Order: sequence, then C-alpha cells, then structure tokens
Amino acid sequence: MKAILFLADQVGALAMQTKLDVASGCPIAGVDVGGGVHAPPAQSVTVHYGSVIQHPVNKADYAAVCDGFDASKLAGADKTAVQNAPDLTTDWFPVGP
Amino acid sequence: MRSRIWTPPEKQIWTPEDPEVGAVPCVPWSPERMQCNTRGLALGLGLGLVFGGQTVNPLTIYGPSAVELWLRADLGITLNGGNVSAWADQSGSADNGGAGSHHAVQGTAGNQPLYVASDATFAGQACISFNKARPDVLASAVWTTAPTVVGTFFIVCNSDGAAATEVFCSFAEAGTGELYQNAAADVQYFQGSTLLFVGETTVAVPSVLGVDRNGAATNCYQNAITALNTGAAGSGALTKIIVAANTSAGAGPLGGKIAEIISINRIATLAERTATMRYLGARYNIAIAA
Repeated sequence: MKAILFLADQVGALAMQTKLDVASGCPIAGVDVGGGVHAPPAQSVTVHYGSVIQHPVNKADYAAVCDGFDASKLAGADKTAVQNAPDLTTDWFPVGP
Repeated sequence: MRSRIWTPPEKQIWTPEDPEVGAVPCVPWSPERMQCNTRGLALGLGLGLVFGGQTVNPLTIYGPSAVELWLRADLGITLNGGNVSAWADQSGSADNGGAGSHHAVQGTAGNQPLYVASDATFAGQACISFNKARPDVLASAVWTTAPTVVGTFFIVCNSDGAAATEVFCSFAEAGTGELYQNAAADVQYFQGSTLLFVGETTVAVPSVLGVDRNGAATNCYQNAITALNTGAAGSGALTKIIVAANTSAGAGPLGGKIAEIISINRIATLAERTATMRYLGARYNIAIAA
C-alpha cells in the first residue's frame, strides 16, 4: 500500500488527506442496491479517499494513504509526493488479537 | 430443485408416474393454493427460505425483539462504485434511526470491501469480499442499546487460510469477543480471558460458525447443530460490530468473504439453533451435521 510519509507531522498528513479527498471527488454519495432496509445517506457516504495512518509504535509519525490514486489530479509538489510515495512496511499496521 | 406453481384445473395431483413433481407427495392443487405445500421444498424468495409455505429467516425464528443484528449480503447494501460503503442491519432495531445504529459502514474508499452479487462458492448467493492488504473493514457505531453480555451469534464466512490471524468479527474495539482464523491452524473464539476453539480446521471453504456467548457455558459450533467445543462462560459485552477485523482501524484483517451475520440477545434454544443452521445451510449449500 503506497502512502506519503509525514514524520512527526500529523497536520501535514491530514492536509494531504484533504487534498486527496477533494481531487477524488469526496464526499461521494452511496448507491443502494438489492432489497431490505438501507443505511441512511449520512451513514453510507464516502468521505475519504484514503486513511491517515498513525504509526503503531512511533506515535508521532503519520502516513497519508494514496494507493492507486491518479497523481495527475494534483499539481506541483503534491503530485510529486504521490508519485514518489513508498510502500508502507509492515510495522505501520496494527496487529491482530 | 423444481418448484410447484399454480396450474390449470386439468393438472392432476402428484402420482408416482409423474416425473416432473419429484419423490415427495404433495397436497392436491386447489384454487386456494398458489404453490404446493411439499415437505422439504425450499424456494429462495424475498427475505427468507420457504419451508412448507412458511418463510424462514432470523426474524421469524427468534422474533424481532430478540434479533439485535442481521446482516445479509443481498440486503441493505450501499455501494461506492463496486465497493461497499454501508451494510445495513435488517433486525429492525430502534437504534438504527440514530447515531448508535447497528449498520456496518466504511467511509474511506481505500478500506471499502468488494461487493460480489453472486458467488459460486456461496451457492450463487451474494457475499462481501475483504482484502486484508488494504485492509477492508466495516464497523458500526457503538450501539445505543445497552450492551448485551449473553447472546448467540452465527456467521457464514471463509478465509484464505494464510498463516496470519484473520478476524471474522469483533464485538468491541479490541475488546471483549472476537472470532478469528488462527493462522493456518484452526478457528478460535476469544471471549475476554476465555479462549475457545470453534473448530480444529480452517475455513477455506464457506462455513457456518456459531457461538453461544456467556450462557451457562460458552458453546461453539461449526457446521453442526451440536457444539464442537464448550468452555466456561465469559463476561464480555457486545457493544458494536466490527466486520473483518479486530478494530475499526483494521487490526488482524480478514482475507476472505462473509455472506451473513446473525446476533440475538439471548441464548438460542435447540429448536432455534436447529432452524438457523438449516436455514443457513440450505441458503449457502453448506452441509450441516446433527
């Protein structure tokens, strides 16, 4: 999973997430399919393109996930950051039970 | 299985020589009957299966007040493209009108699982496919209703059987109860400090798993009406549902598929458990032992 790293910079990670959200069209309303009762629109809306991940050990470090994002939707340094985003190593992911 | 439908008056009742009806005799056709009340005939109609003319689903088995969660992959799905942004609870809970609803949702596109409208491994029924590399997770809010300590739940699922802990569902944030694939060894249910084995085999093929939580004992079921394992009762409460991980953030993510989840707020009776296992077994073509 590719992500832009923000070491000791939560503000920067959240700001990048906002840019990715806007460029990807978020918020995106859900489309109900099938039968039964459906969740109300406020609960089924897609609000983020990717997550902001906090490092499980180095709590000060954050990563803005951009896996699969089309970098051409951004400009300048943001575009470059997405293009050069590395794959997250396994130490970024929370462990199971 | 061939179904019986209304036919004109000249259609005769079943006889052994009629090869189109099958081996089980049926009640003679009449204008009042739109289908033959054949024992063992099951049709997939609407919300449930039809046995002997009666619709069977968790709401009819337990009564609506006992069903606190019913997720089924052909019901209540909301999509963002091909991925699931919401899987709505069908229990009818009053919680679902507010902030503490039981709907399992995911607002981040990168963590939304894939919707599969028809999956051959689940007898052509719908399921939701979870990619653990993303990870894909659906989670509800903390339910408005007071947490339930005692209850029975069932899940129809499979996993990729990889050498990792993969959680099918959890009842609190890394808290009081989780059912998971334990690496490539077996399936486990962890209830507080009580660790129980649901089954001694992995669930690479779709399986019906069940647990009686915190009754006189904690009973675990795998494709059978009789408990495979029984252990001490725990005390952990169900406060929310997290599907395919141990936490909403995606700890211990599942690489696999889930088709249906049922949770009731009391211990199922033998008759209810039997009916549920047979309903799930028939729906997903999973053999259920006694």
